Amino acid sequence: MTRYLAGRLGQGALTLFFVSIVVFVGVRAIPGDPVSALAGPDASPEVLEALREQYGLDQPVHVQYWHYLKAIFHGDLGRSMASPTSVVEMILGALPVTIELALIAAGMSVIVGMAFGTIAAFYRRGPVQWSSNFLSLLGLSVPSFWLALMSILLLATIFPVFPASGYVSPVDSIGANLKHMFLPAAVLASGLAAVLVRQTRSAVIETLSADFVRTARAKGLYRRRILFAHVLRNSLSVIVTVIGLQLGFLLAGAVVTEQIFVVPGFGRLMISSVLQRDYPVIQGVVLVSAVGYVLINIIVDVLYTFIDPRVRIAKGDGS
Amino acid sequence: MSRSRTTILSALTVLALGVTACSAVDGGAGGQSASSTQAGDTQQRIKPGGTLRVAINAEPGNLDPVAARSLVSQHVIGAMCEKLYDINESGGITPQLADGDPKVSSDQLQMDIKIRTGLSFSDGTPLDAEAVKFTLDRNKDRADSPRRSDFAALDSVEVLDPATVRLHLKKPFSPMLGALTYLGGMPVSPKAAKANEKAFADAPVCVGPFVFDKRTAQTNVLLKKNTNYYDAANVHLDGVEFQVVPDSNIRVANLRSGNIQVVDQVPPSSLAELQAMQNSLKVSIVESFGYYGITVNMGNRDGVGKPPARIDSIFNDQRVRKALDLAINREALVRTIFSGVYTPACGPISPESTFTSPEAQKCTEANPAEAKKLLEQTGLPMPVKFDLMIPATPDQTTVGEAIQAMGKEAGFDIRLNPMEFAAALKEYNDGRYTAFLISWSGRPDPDGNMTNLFGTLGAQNNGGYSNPKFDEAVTAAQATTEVAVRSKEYARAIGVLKEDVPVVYIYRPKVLTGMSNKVTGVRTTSDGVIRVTHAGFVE
Repeated sequence: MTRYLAGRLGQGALTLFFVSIVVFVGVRAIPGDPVSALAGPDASPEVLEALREQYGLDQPVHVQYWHYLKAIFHGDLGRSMASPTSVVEMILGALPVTIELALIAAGMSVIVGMAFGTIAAFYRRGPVQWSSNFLSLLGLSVPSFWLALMSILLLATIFPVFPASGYVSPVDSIGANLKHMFLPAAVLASGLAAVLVRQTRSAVIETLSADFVRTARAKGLYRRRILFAHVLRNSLSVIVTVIGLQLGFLLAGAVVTEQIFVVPGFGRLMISSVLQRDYPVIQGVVLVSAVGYVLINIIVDVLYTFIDPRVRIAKGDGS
Repeated sequence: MSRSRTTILSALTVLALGVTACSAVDGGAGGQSASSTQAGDTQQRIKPGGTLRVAINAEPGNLDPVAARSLVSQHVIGAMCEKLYDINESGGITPQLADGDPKVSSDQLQMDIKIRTGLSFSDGTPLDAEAVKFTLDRNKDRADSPRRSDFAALDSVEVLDPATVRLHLKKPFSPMLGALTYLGGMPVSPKAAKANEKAFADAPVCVGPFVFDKRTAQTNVLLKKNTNYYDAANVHLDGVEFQVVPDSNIRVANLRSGNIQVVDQVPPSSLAELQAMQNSLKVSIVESFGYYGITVNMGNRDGVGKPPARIDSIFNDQRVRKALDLAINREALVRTIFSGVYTPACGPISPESTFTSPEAQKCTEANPAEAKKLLEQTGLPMPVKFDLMIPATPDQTTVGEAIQAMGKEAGFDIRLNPMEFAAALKEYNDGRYTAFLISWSGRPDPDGNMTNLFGTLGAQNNGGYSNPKFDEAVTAAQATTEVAVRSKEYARAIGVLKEDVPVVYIYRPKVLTGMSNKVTGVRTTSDGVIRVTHAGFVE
């Protein structure tokens, strides 16, 4: 087991090493000069040169990479070129915001998706089904940026119930934080909720036709009890799988939502750093994302060995 | 030394913003030019306190005045740092931390500036001549200072007494005063700047109504009231929050919802909609020093900053450049794309400038037939093809398409090459372009819009243009402080530009700032900077 774990960690470290090289070279291949982007059209060549020197961009790429690698081992991802802040500080500030947004969106979509999906499974004909189908189709096909702009227009401008954009930390005010998070989370949740409506509906329909449900009905159990104690419980495995699969998309969707609602999360940091050619921030953001993916994969692989002994044996660690 | 009080500041008007705590003030007149349409110009009472939310269009970046590079950073820095001289409502120059006009020696190689006494920086240290010398030296000498070119003519700074500095110039250089109205003219506390340069990039220590409180990168900058400010009694707000909102539609939506009280860079397409909401909103419209134009590459072979060199381009033929100038119907362009809010640009000097003249504002009338005739004379295969690099933004794409259509009528086949701005800028600096539709933010002193951009050795001569007649005229303008003489020399230089057409001027944007009627005292001027010193919430 230990050997297997060490092997996986080694593979992970190697992956990260290659990711760091690809990102480092990749950002430098993007058309545009970070120093020109930083200094703007009014800057003179002398200033551009001085800035290039200040950020070490006048050195050969391999030398720049070596300095970058050394700094990483000291826990230093560098300093942003566009903001006078360290990259680590920026990432630590942005990550919790995106995680909060994704969790609220996931919560919203689970509530809405399961409720509508279950109702649609029970009333398979007539207006309930049509409206459920229509809403889920809408949720799947309407682009999130359009929905975001419409929600701002309707719920922040015409009926100013929610703020149009911005973010308040929950540390400062939980109420204001939730108020600011509602619209972006709702927009982000719309796609996942639509998927969940459809999946819940088919899972519940399938469970409703199972023998044990018929038996429960025959025994005279109340409809509500059948639904909550038997049907939903048995449908949950499908729903949880869907949520798990969609979480990645939720985080990706946060990039667009954060940009429109000016939520200072990880996605917004990524976009602004690319637009400003802020090399240290782009590198940091991609590296942290890669670390996240590698770690999750390692954890899943290790969990498999606990769940399924065949994996352990196949890896040559049958002891 | 014989010294004469010159007419350098003949256009000066004294800043007279008579605002007092909780007193009646001119609610909306601040920041208005003659063409301003700001609503709510009524006498309104201000209630003390509150935090003003201002939406800005980008991350302000470095807030140290010596290293700041963008207009957006000036909104934030301007709330913390006052300058030796400022731009007033009519685009003129007025003393702010300086005590009156500078005194210039008869040979124009020395400029004495008196500094107001009894003022202190936000850290409590005094504002004196040593601090001003420290600031100017810092701007002049620091390698990454974008102000170095502004102070290239400054040889040294001498402290005459605690309240007077003498600027020794390498050559007569009248635009020096203009440089002091910009970031380079903001005195900083030597003690704080020396103590921690990195911290200073976030929290500059200056003389100003507000001081840095906290900042979330890419999100906002919070400022709080500076209790050490000399006019603190007339600062009504507790603080100002500058929120970064890059999308102009979202900025406008925030203004409409009341979430934000002041919005920078309102898009012209939203102007009518906002003006219709005059019960709750107002829009300040001020002429800008800047312009948009097409720079053609005539000699930028080795990159900007290098001497112009011969390149193989259709624009080396003056007739092609003139034809492009004749092809553009500026009036139609601003009317259809910018709803007539913006105005045609015909030269580098704003019509509001003290240094303008009828020659400087003379516009080329659109004449596609004449343009076609010129192109046919060149012997080039018709239609004459070229690539026009444009920033890939919705506005500039529309402008590019309009130019393309107008060019077609005149015998051009213009291929648009939309590029993300940072990438386009790199091509522009390296000389890898034929023509580029680009903006210039503009300077209050016309020299900043001409010498660097078109002088043979100009640091930002991206087009690689060179004409000794132009160089001679701008050098002559630099050497005198007489407004009339300078205007005449600039008119001469502009005449050369009009003949050579190294740039086809297209339109002049305006500074459009949206404001809630719940606030008053916010000012905007032609430099585009939002001033919040005396802003407050109305009762």
